[in-house]
Amino acid sequence: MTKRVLTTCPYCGVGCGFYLDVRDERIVGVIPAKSNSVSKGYLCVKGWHAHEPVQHPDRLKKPLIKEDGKFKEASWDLALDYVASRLKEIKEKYGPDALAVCTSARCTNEENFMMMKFARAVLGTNNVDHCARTCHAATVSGLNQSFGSGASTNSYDELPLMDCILIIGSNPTEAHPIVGWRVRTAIDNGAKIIVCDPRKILVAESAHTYIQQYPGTDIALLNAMINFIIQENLQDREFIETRTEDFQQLWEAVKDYTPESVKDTTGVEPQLIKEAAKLYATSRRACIMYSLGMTEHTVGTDNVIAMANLAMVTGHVGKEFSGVYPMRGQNNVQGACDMGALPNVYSGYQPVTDEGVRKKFEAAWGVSLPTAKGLTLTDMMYKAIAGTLKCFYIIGEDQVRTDPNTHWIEEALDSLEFLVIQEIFLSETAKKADVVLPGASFAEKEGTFTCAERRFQRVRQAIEPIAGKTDGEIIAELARRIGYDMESNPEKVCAEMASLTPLFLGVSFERLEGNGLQWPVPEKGHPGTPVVHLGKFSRGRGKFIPVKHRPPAEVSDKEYPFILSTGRMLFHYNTGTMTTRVANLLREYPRNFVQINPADAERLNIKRHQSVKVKTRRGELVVLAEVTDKIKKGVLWMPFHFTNEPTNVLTNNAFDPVCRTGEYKACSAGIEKL
Amino acid sequence: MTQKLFITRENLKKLIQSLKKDCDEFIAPKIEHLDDIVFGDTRNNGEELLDYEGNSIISPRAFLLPQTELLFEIRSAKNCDLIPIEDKKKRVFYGVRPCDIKALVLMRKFFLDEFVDEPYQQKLERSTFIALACGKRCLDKSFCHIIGSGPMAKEGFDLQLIPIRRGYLVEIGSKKGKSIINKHKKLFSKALAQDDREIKKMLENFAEESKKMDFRGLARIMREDKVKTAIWDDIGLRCVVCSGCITLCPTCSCFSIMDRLNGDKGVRLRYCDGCPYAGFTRMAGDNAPFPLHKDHIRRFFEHKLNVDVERYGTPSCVGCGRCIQTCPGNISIKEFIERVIGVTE
Repeated sequence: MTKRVLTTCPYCGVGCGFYLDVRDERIVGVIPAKSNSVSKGYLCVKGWHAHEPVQHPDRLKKPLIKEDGKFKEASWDLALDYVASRLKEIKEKYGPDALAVCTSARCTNEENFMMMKFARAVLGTNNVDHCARTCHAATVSGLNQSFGSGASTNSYDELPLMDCILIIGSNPTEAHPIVGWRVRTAIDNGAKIIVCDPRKILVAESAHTYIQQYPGTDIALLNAMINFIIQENLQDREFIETRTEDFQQLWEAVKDYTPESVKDTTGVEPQLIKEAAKLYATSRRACIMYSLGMTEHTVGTDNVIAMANLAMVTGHVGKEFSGVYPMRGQNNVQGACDMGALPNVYSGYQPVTDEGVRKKFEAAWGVSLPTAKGLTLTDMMYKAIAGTLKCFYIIGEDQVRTDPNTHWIEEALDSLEFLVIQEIFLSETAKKADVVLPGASFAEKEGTFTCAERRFQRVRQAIEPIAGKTDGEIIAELARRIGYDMESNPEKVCAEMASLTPLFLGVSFERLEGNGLQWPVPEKGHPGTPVVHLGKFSRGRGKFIPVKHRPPAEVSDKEYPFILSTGRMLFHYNTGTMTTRVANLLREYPRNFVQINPADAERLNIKRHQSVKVKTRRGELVVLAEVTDKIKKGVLWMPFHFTNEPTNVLTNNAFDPVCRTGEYKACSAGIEKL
Repeated sequence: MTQKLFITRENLKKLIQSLKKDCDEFIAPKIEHLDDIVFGDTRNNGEELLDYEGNSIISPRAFLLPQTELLFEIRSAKNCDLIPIEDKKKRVFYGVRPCDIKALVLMRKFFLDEFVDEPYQQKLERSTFIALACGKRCLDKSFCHIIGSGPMAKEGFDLQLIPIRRGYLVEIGSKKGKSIINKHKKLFSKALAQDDREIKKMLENFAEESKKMDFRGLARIMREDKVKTAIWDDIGLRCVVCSGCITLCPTCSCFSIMDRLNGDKGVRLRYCDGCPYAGFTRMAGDNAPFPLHKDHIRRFFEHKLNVDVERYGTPSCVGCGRCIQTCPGNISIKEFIERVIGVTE
């Protein structure tokens, strides 16, 4: 028996489509879908191997309950009864806000909607968040303030036709390869690329202008570009006049940021900044593409605002073939945000503090809902250590390996009274759980993911859930045991979500059959919205918000003379739970490493592939050295995918005060030869 | 060429119904999702396309050498207790394009001459191949007419169907094909002279736009390492190791073996592997004979256009264009050929 099941890739936020090639209940391979409008028959190496981890023998197949520090397999009934009774008990003893829920950007929209409903309607707390906190929360908070909507402004298919693409803090080739294909096509079509990155990434090799700034100096760089554009009279006066407000405040903030004045801060020659500024400002079709290199800073929100300012000064937003493209990291991190898996909003960014909104959800769900904003993931950890947060129910998220400053996260999780993890593999975080519930992978469920161009796409079931239940079914069964009946049929959940969410009102499984829909979809028959802010920003006028350079929380000193930055590689994905279980991916990069510039390496007598110890104020790690001139002098770079050599023991949990995202991309570090 | 027969569309449908009764899987082109054409089993659903434009996203290779394939059940790793997992399904492949038929001929040489690969042999020998000649060129990315693998297959099929206005001409390519004809005599009639004229016209149309490439000349240039360095440099900058080319190529035969154990039990499987990966040729101590990335992807080109010309007397690129269509680096083996034959050092 053979079948082909069209579904959406479970890795990055690009949202490629492929068929799972199923033969006799075994998924033997992946067939790219040419008719998918996102991927058009292209896939990256992870996508081509997306089937391999699904039926891996390491998959969790039965619930696990910890007794005397050891996991014992349990039946579903026993495990669910136990979890439900503990959740109830903790809620009664300490109140609902002693519980918190972490949903998953790996799960479907429907499951995220259910999980946020579970937190709010069943547990009675707004303590619900997910991993966007560690990646693009700054995008939501930053672009929302500037434009009135915190998602990508334009669509992928405009990229190949751009005249200029400014790529900053993003590595499309490795982190978003099928958007990388569009950048490649743009280059082949004659587009000029500007790359700003402390590492000379592959696109930089084909770039018109390559700027190698120090990590954590992006605002200085962007403000200097804006400064030069205004000095040279290259700004779009009409756009500024008719579409924006507070330009004068912006000018006040950037007027001292001449390209010359930021030379020492950024480590970039003024001439390069001028060249880039002029190219971006004078290109007819120009856009900015960015990713976690901009958001994972203590100034993440301000970084995003600085880019929005640059786009508005030049009029490169709010029309076709322009815009600001935040490249989302996870398959459904856009969707998890959209579904209201955030402590301050319901689905479609409807504030929990808005009485009208709350009443609508109360009426639909038949319960009274909490009125105050909940805790962010970052704050949950603090509250766990402080002792006021007692219980954490986490789906598909490996905080121990994902969050910055591992030792501190471990302390937080160890402080809890009760930890439930729903996972497909026994992650480091799952090892700390009191109960592990075996979840289902993307290939075992129906639902939708929303990709970085705001496109809802269908996820379809290829095989039965390996452990017997989908994540949605598990949530519904727990809810029922706590005394609340919840729908778990994905199509019905989607319909419920749409009916309660003006932004997604026209979304339904039926309408997604073809090539999905790009939100906003505000009416039943609405065709979707490829470009937002056309003619008018979501908030009315685009707002110039003055931002100034502030150094990272840690600056280098004698003891820790390097700036350590971290990031993703082509062959692996996040904590590596899936990609390290794919033979060819693991073989390409089986171990962690640190990149160091040859000049620094020579000074410290470090040679290629030697063991070195990387140290920060939070921890140390022995890895192999990769000596490469692709990285700026004085900067170290490490990937974060290797669970046995975990980079996040080093990173800094200092966070952005607005969006609470940790500073993964810059901390001070030392390195020594062993 | 043997004597040609003729079959009407209606009779072809009857033939297909009859063949379906006598096989386990009827692998034929079918529409998936919006307009994707993919070979799949249509034995029980009748979704096969009798005729179609273009080619299937995957080639028949996906059934003879799947992306991952179970070889053994490991009953005990400790005791080396293995039993082979056999695939003895009888398959009819319908509507296979001439480029893919040529690929099957080359793959047969690789897997059955000298060392015999039993899992491949098992499946191949139980398979029947019905080719469907191309009435017109499929994609702008394919180039069978330049490399000499289309629009009609010369060998390697059991039956070949050539679409004409009033139905299909049928060509017999093997004993297996002959016996199908004998079993269904009533469905076929003799071809007419006008049918031959129609085919000739079709071939002329194809020939008009094609100038056959000098593949021996190309192989010589590559063997003598006279391809411009800039061409390899450019390819090296473009390849992002997606592995799409080696997965879709109908003549890529490389695979690796791995065991997937759950304790002492598990399976041994093989999976598609090949040139673009650095790890494919990396040796102990992290030494690599060709450390530069551009040389990894160069192997793909050398194998198809140089080594196999020496080995088989023909390039093993069949011009299907699948690798071009799926490459996120916009690498084109067609453009490579044109550039190299045009420009050398």
